[in-house]
Amino acid sequence: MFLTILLPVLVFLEIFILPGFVIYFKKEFNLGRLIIKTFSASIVINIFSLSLLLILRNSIDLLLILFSSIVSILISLISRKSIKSSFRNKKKKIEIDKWLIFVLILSLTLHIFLFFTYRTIIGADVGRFSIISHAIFLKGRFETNLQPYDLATNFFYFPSVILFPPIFEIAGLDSITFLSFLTFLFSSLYSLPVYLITEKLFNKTIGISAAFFSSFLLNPILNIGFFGVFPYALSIFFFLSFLYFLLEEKNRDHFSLISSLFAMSSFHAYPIVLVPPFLIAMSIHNPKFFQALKEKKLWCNFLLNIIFFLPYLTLTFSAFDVFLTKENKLDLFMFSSFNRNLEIKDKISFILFSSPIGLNKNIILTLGFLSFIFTTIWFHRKNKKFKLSLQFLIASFLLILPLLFILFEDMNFSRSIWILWFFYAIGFSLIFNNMKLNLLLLLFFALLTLPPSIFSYFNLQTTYIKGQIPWIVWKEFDNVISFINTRIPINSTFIIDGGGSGCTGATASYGERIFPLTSRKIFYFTDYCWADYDKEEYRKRVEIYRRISINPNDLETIKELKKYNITHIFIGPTDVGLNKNLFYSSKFYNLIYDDGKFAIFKIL
Amino acid sequence: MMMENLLSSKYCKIISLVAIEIFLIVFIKSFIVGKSMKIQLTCNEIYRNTSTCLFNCTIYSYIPEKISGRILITHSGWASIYDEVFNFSYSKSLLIDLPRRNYTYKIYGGAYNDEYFAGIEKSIKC
Repeated sequence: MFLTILLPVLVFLEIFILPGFVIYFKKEFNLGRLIIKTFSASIVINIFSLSLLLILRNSIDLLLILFSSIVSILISLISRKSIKSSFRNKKKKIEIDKWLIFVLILSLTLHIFLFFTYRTIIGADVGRFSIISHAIFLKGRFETNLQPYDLATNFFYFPSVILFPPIFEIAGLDSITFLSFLTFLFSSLYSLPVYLITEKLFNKTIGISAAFFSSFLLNPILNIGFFGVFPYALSIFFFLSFLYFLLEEKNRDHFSLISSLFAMSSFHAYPIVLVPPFLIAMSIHNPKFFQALKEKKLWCNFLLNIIFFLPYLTLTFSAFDVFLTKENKLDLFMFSSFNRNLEIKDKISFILFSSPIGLNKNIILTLGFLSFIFTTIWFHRKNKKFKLSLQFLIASFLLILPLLFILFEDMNFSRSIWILWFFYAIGFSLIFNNMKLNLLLLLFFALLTLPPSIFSYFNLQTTYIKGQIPWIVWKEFDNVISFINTRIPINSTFIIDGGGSGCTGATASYGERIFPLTSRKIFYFTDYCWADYDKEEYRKRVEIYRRISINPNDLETIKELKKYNITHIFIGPTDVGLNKNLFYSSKFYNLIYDDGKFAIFKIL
Repeated sequence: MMMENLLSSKYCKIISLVAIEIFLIVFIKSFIVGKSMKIQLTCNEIYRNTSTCLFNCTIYSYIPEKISGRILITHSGWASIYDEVFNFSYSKSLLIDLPRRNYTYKIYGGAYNDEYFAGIEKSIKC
């Protein structure tokens, strides 16, 4: 029991904390900076050490974790020598602001409460990367061929998403719980980079208010991550860390600047499209900004980070061209048709006033937009620093808007609209910057539970709706998983309701939970843009699923199921295709589990 | 005062840069995403019993040469229940049988050739 808790904790410390801490211990004295620097550095160093060791000795086991820790710490010790200390005065103490600590602790507490209320969150991305992680874990080696556990014969995806979950599985933590924990952790820390940026642009008071509003009211990591899109959600934390280091004009820490950009890309590279508007805005803010690009240190660190990524790119090199196929482009085109065909006024309304995932026009976002517009006009004359900072924000905002308008036509890029929440939080913080009064506001939001505030997540609907796979796992599902683990043979294969289709992502399905949690195979069909697979085989499986949905008694289809060694049918309460009632009355299936919501049939 | 600010060189610079940015994005996008063409998709229900609905779905293109096409039906977001690829010129019809669930399925039509891409989305109830 002690080891089952200790081992994942130690692995977490090694992957996310230790290397960065070795570099910055007694070198960085600002708590916020120390935290974001530690995460970025640790992630990029671990990506290097893990993938390098996998090239040398391809085995996913405890030795890999041990060797990787040694390599990571050695790299950190070498890197430490090149890092200047941020210590400027004789007080060698970590700078702590009591209100910032209060915001962080409250945020952490609310997130911990959410984590223990729902335990695991799941959506398309959590499911698909849990499948990959578990397949790699079962194989015991890193392979981009996931057969026989998945259709994919080759794939490329961002390194943190692929490398870290199997490592945690070795440590005894299933990938679904690990990814849920990671999402809640970074969501609770989202306010840190926001605080650092706003404090730099304005002052500490406004920084803390911005952290407050970002954490509890306008938190894109929580909003996107809760629905399972965790790679993109986590990259947001590092995108804002990068933005902060970009704004640090004096004594810029080039290593942190570049490593935060690479740490971002290690989860998801798409936020990179938001970098150019900020770079242009920076050049307006400070005409000498582009001179910084000539600095040798910057390019040395860029090269160093590319070297950190090279072993992983070598491991997955063969799948680079998967994205470029015409079938995949068509896929994106088809799934984006809703966004593309919206009228201009609806597009504008979606971009400015809606959430990146599943939330239409919203009062809080509308107020956020208005407060940002109001503050840019009102506070413009306050003082020179405010004027310059607001000019930077206005320039960034104006450069980002047309970009978002065009990106919105692509479903994968449309979630970039989260960046506006950053501006809205600043708008709110310029108006409401008395923390004691803000606490009253918090109480107001807690009572109203208006989305996208964190309190709206405490009130999730617990009823099952047809066609909507729940994003969270209820108690009944745990019982089914425990039944499968104890009563169904390990070599069984399940057919479940629906599989993945499309570049935009597979729908969350029960299959994505059954395989990672029970190791029982799923007759699942994959259709991702970033994976190579036999497309004809994929379509064949879709066809079998359609036929068994229409008529479970069709002998030809049952023969096909047996040919694929499918032994069980799993039907959940929200399923559309597979229908319990049709199976109850069939003589070809034996009901072995039924709790009124979930049912499992054995094929006779 | 605001007018003065707006006309100050910094704001002029911002506005010019926004204009250049829009031009660049539109230019780059036409390369990356590909040019779009027009297609149409129609689905008529021709039969229904207690367990299925039979649809006749037709995809139309407006160009004479053969192009690649795809019809895909999903439920619960993006879970596939029908997926077919084919080559066609002008139009292609398919008979599609779906389980009757009193549910609104999404049907997507797509087509492409060397230069153009097209996508369309509709709903069908069964």
